[in-house]
Amino acid sequence: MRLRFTFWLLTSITLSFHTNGNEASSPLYIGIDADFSAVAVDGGIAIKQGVELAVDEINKNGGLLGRELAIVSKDHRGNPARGIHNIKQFAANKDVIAVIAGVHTPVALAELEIIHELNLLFLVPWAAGTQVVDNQYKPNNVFRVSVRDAEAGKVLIQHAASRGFKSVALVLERTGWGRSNELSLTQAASEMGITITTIRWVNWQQKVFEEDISAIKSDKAEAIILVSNAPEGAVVINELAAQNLTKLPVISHWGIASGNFIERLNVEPHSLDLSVLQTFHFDHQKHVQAQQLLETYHEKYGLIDPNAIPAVTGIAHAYDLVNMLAVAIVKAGTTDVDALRNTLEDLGTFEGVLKTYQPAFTPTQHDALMAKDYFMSSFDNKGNLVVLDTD
Amino acid sequence: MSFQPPPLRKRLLTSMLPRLFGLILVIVIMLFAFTFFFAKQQIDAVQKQSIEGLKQDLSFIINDTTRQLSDLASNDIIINSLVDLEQRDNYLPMFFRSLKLTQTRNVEFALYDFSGEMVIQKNWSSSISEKLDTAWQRKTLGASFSFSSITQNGVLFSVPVLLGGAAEGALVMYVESLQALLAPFPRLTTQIVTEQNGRVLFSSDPEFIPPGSQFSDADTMGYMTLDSRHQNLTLYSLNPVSTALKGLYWLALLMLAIILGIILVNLHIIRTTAVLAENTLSGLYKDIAHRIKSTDTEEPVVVEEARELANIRSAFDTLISDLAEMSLSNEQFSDVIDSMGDMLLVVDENHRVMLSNKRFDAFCEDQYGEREGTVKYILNKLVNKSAGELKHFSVGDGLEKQIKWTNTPLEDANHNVKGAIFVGVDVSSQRSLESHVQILSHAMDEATVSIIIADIKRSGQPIIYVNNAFSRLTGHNKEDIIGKNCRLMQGDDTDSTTTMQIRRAISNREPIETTLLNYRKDGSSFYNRLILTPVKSNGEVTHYIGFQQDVTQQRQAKRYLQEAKQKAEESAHMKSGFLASMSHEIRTPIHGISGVLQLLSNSPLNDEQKHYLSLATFSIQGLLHIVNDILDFSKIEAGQLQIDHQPFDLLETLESLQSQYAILCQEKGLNLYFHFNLQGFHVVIGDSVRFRQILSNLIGNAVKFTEKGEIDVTTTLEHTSGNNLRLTCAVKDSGIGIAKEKQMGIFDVFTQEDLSTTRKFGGTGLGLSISKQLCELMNGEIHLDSEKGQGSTFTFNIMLKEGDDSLIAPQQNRVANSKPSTQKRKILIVEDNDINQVIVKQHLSNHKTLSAKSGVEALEALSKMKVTFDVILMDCQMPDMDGFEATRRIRRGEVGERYTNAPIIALTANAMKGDREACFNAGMNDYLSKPFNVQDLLEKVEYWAEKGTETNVHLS
Repeated sequence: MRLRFTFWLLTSITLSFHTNGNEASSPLYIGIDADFSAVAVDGGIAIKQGVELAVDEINKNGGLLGRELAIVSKDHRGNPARGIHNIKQFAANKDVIAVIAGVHTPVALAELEIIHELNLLFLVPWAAGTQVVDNQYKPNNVFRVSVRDAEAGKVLIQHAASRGFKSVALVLERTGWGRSNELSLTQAASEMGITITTIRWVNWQQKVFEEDISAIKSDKAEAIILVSNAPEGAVVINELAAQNLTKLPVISHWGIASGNFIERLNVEPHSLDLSVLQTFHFDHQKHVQAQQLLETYHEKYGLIDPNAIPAVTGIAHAYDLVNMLAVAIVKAGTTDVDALRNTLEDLGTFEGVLKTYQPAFTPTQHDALMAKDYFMSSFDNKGNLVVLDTD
Repeated sequence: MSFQPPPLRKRLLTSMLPRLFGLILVIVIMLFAFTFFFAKQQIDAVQKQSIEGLKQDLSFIINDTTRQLSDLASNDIIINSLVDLEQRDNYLPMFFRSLKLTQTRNVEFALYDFSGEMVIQKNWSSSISEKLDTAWQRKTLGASFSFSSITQNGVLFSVPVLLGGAAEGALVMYVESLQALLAPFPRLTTQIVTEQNGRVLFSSDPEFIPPGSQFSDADTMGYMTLDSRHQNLTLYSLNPVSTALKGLYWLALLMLAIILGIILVNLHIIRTTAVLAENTLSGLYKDIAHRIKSTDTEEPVVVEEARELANIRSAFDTLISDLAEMSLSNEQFSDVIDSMGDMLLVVDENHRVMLSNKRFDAFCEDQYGEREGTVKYILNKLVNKSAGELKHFSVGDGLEKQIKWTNTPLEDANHNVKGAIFVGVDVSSQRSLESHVQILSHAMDEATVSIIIADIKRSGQPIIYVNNAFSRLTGHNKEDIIGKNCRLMQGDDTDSTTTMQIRRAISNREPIETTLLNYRKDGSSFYNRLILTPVKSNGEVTHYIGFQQDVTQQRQAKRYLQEAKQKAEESAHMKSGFLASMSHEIRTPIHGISGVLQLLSNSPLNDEQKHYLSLATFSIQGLLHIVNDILDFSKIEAGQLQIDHQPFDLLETLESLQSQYAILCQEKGLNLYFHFNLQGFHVVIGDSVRFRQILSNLIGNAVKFTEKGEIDVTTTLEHTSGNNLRLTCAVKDSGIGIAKEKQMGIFDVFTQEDLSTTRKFGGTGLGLSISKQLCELMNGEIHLDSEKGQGSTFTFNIMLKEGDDSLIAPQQNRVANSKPSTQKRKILIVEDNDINQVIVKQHLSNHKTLSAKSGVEALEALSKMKVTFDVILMDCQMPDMDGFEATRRIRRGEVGERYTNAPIIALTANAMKGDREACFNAGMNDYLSKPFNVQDLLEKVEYWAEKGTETNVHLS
């Protein structure tokens, strides 16, 4: 019921800016198209919080081009069709300067066509699929501050190699994101000389994974590389526990960190050998910008243990992206998409919370983060992510 | 006879016919009413059942289809396909092609996404009306509920495909008409389903009412109908009237035929009955009339006023008057013979019974009712005899009857014999009495006890009866002794007081039981156990009956026993004395050794010497333990062990035991657990020393026989009655256990499980036996529960009494009070044994000591020395004057006032019970049993010296 109420509320917000959009003093909008209610809620909320923190800061400093900055968010629930529907609605409002994408690669991939058709700026703080950025569109309206699967594959395989594993099993979700990782992981594995014993596909909302785990067990894989969202990730881990394989190392892409993973587990997280790819952690990024972000976060959302902030990478990525956009708008002096795209490609050095980008984007590279920016983390006994000391 | 009543036949017919017809009419009407009512009910029930069935079919189709669709919608392939837009075409079509939910053909399926766009379909050809489309989308996509609709536009089901609790798409199934879904079911009646506007959606008889046509009530002429609403549908059940009531017509015809039959049969029966009754009565009348003429008697009968019956009555009247005139003489005669006490039977010459009385008749009745047979039997047995006794078996009481018969000839006036008269008298009881007396007399004759009866009413009180046993006992024949007095058997050595007692008893008519010396006929004597009992006849004692028994041998046996007992008691006494001295004699040297060892331990020694010393100490403790065991056991044997009844603190006792054994267990690596349930009783009254002895013995054994594991000691107190308490204590170990066959003797003296145990674990083998005896002395018991290799549980209980804290004197907490003896005390040691003297002196080397060798020397020292001794240590057993006497004298003030209250501590090797009391009674203050511990000695000396000083200060 609450969920449906949220839909109606969002629709009514959309309607309200339709009617008021033409007024001169009306605000500029940043659209957020993410999953707020289905499978990656933590990720969606984190992205929204990152955007909100950045927007608050920008508005405090006088807004952009003399106009207030406002946020309109829409819930795509992880459903690509719904995402496309949302993009069309955003495009109907000429004051929407950019759309921030959500967690799900399949949704982002499905939206590319309409994004470019309607010429919207598409800023990606999470969806990691290589094809999201490396698309066939020219000019390319997609800018990403997040993991890039092609790079992530390398990092995951390197992590496996550094721990001395010779053979791994892949568990991938049966979507564009899973397939994007299949490509990068197999390539990285063959480069590093690691054998992939088997590739197991998991459907969204799949509840049973018994046969697949048995197969992985019988193939004698030394570790599992997991690419899935939280619900399916939990199904996989629970089945491992059911077959007494909690000691089998699991090296996970960061999908499981996007929402309610720990609550779905039947086992104590610290009893697992589970490492998770991350880009940002308050224990990893300890510079001034990160400290300030933490302070404003605490002011706005209350005092929470920094380790316990859910999907913290989403906050950092979105925060950096919106701030980059603001710099670009100020520099370009317009909200015209073509002008902004060019400015973003030529932004120069930018001091973000995640790192100092030198620069973030170039005309040929719309991915701001690369393998060297990733690190591995793990869950502590409270279910919080902690930075893993790798040597 | 002027009034002639109508004949019986006419009366019967006129009264019965109208009633019969009336009754039949009522039954016919009721039968018809019931039949119609039940037939109607049945038809209605069929209709209802048919409608209910139809409703269930519809609900089943809706629910089952919805459920199956929901199952499909939760399939992760379907869910994934809504997310995986790129590649779903690889697997979704195959999955969809395989869909099949019902047997019905032409079922259409489609999967829609959240916006109502169709993703994939199967058989989807129809154009669903816009209204229906909107309806399911609003319900399923908008509100995430499943939806179903049955209308003329077809049957549609839709269920949401849920993701995170909300619809992301919908699975839709469509069938063109309800007819296709419902058709396969068999029907009770013709069934129709219509919409509210009357359009037929389903018909079980499409030829009669085709689906899609308009249905109205006008179509149902000649049908019974029942209708019911189900959601937006109306359900009808149609049943043709002709079919429904066919059964009823049939039944009505059958019943009519039966009723007609009944009427005809009834009419016939009534007529026949009437004629038969008339004929019968007429016949009866004639019969009676005939019998009256031929003299026999009959009871008069009074019946209803039919003519025939009236005739009967008048005939009987005549009969009664005839009977009244019958002769009276007959009656009087029979009264006389019937009143006779004996049986009477008169027969004629041809042995035909002429006369018999009631008693004889009754007798015959008792002989199986065989009158003729009985008569024949009597005549046969008594032919030519005037009298004889015959035995007859009685049926009534199952006994044989003895009848004495007399046979007297029956003569007429001319003395011609006309027959015979038999008179029978029952003599059964007389004969049985005779036989009873005979049995008694015979029993007495043959009895193995000598019996003698004397008549005390006659002068000389002669013997009137002796039995055979008497003759065997005394040698006197019956003939010799009868008529003589019993004194015949007495002789010179017969105790005259006993004979006097007998005489007195007889003159007082009292029974007497005594033993006296009697003589046989051959002059040999024997002890005669004589029981004389007076025999009363008519309230007066007339005879005495005597029973005699030769008890010579018993007398001898008794004497031997008395002698043996005396000897045994003497020897037990000697043993006890021996043990007491043993105790002293053995303890004294042990004390010596123990003391020297303690002294030695205080001197500088190298490690090897220390080791040897500890071995020696250990051995001496073992020896002491054995001596104590033997002593205890001997005391128990001699019955000298007495149980104390002093208040003591049970909890404290248990705690001290725990701490005592905790160290031992710790060394062996065992766990020792104590569990209490003392019900709040701290202080109880009983023998704390013996309780402690039993429990330490058990715990000691447990520790000894357990290599690893634990020892549980569970103590419970329970209230039994009054202020009695039962203490139950169980000691459970995880040791070697005891084999079942050895458990029986485990509490016997010198028993351990087997000889190898003794070799391995040592011990006297007395401990358990002592424990058992102690438990029994404390009104309790001990038992064992064990299995070889499984550990043992010894459980004992003893009886205690309630006590309370006030009963316990405030403890002399010596440890707390004892200060390092800074002060030099002046101590007099009274001890005859040189070694002991040296030891005590050496132990008390920090103080000033003086020794005396006997009580006399001690008194001398005390009275002559100027110094006042703080404490006197007093040995109990000494030559010249022992410690008790010396103490008594000191207390009496023989050595001066200053010593009347001086502390005197007894030193004694006597561990016998009573020594402690003897010491306190003599006026000593405290008590140390040898061999004693140095620490105890020092503490006691310090305590009493301190106390003595306080008293003195106080006095001054």
